[in-house]
Amino acid sequence: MKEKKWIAICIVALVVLVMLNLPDATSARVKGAVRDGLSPLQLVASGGMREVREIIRYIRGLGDLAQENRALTEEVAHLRGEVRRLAEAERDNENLRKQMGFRQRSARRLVSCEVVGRDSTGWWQTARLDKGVEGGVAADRAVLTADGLMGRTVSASGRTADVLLLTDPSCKVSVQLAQTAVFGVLQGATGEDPAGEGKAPLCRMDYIPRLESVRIGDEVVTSGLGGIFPRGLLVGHVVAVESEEGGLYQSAWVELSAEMGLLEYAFVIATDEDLQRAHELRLAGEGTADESGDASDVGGDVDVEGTEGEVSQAGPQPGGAGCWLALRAGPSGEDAGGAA
Amino acid sequence: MMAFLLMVFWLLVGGTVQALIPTWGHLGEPAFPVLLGVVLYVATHKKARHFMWVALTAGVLADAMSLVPFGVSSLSFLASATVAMVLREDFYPDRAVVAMALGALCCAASTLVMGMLLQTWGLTTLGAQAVLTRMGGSAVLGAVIMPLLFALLRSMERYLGTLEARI
Repeated sequence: MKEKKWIAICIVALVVLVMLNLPDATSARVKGAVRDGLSPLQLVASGGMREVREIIRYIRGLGDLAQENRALTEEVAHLRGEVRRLAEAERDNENLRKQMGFRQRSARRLVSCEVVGRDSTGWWQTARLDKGVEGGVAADRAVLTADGLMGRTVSASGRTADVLLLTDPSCKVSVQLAQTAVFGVLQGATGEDPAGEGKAPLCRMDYIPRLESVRIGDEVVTSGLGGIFPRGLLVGHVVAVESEEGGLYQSAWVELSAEMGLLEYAFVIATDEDLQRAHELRLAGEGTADESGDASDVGGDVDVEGTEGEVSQAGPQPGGAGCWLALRAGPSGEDAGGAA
Repeated sequence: MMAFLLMVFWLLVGGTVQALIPTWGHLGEPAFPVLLGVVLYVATHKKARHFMWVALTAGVLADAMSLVPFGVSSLSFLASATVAMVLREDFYPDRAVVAMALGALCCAASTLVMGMLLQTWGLTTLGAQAVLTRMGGSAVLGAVIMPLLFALLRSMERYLGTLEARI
């Protein structure tokens, strides 16, 4: 009996040792397989949670429905006007770029995803999306919410992808102040509270040259350096500034525009290659691979499940609004301005 | 067979629930210890041979749904479950106070083991103070959750008729 016990302990120790020393690629494959296997269960569970939240939200807002409806109608009218104006501005912009001989910005597309989970150990601040490589989501892609930048994908399996949130201390993003175009590096700083107000700003923007002017309320947007985050995506606003005596740099505390506490939906900025790969995988999965079809024709017409749109960013505007995000509705690339 | 299926069911549900519940900043952001709860329950209520594979599987699930390298959670779960196994001869885990103390102790130990491993490999930027805060937070969560989880699993077992006599 004692022998059996020792054999069991040895086997377990061996298994743990093997797991700890697995090559990265094998480890990623096994993790991906487990995640993909669990994804239907996670989808159901997160769907249930979302339903419960919706019901609570509905019951809470029951009295204010008429007022909310009026406010939303007004907002829709305002946004439609804005979309028309921006579509016109974009056309002018494109024409001017052509006339000036500027390089055309490459179109990127948004893949809409549901957030189905978080890091199960709590050592990293991540969110799990319900789409992976098969849905057009690859690693090292920027992820947005409707309010602003959320983070970047760090790994993608067939059906899921993990997003490292901006609030994680290991997530660093090159950013700039929209008004003054001053550069800095944004890093998660969970738990710190420089203002001492009990309301901790979640990120810290470092390496801002000391002589540059930074004001409370300044908009922070991505700078486009580093290759993962396109330029001009809204990150947040400056809530506090601090500098060390005699130091070369100053730091700013940034409140993120995206609400990280209750993430439900996210949009991954996908490249044409990601969508093409997703398309190929889907064709391979269905067993109906179109051998005669040219891979290059997939590009703009790939029908990835969920919202799809083209993203274009404009640099910081001196007038105030730092960046804008234009979504072109529909897989056919129909202009949202026209649709409105 | 039923007991085995039940344990697999607990692990799957535990893994899913643990990945759904957001962490709480005031407690140092420890994860909700649902999977560890299942491991501790098996270690204190089931035959000794079960707890090892349950700890290993729970660790694989936890690591797969996280950025933690494979094997780290398994190791920390095994360490905690071993503590529980050693203590189960001397205490009666069906009592809420015992479950609370066991939960607090094992959650803190598991967080410490994991924190030390991640620090050793340079995988976390958290300092010693943050790890200590997290240990305290996970001890609080463990003390709150374990009695409830143990009661839930025990009643489920009683309902299905898989409850084993205390060994």
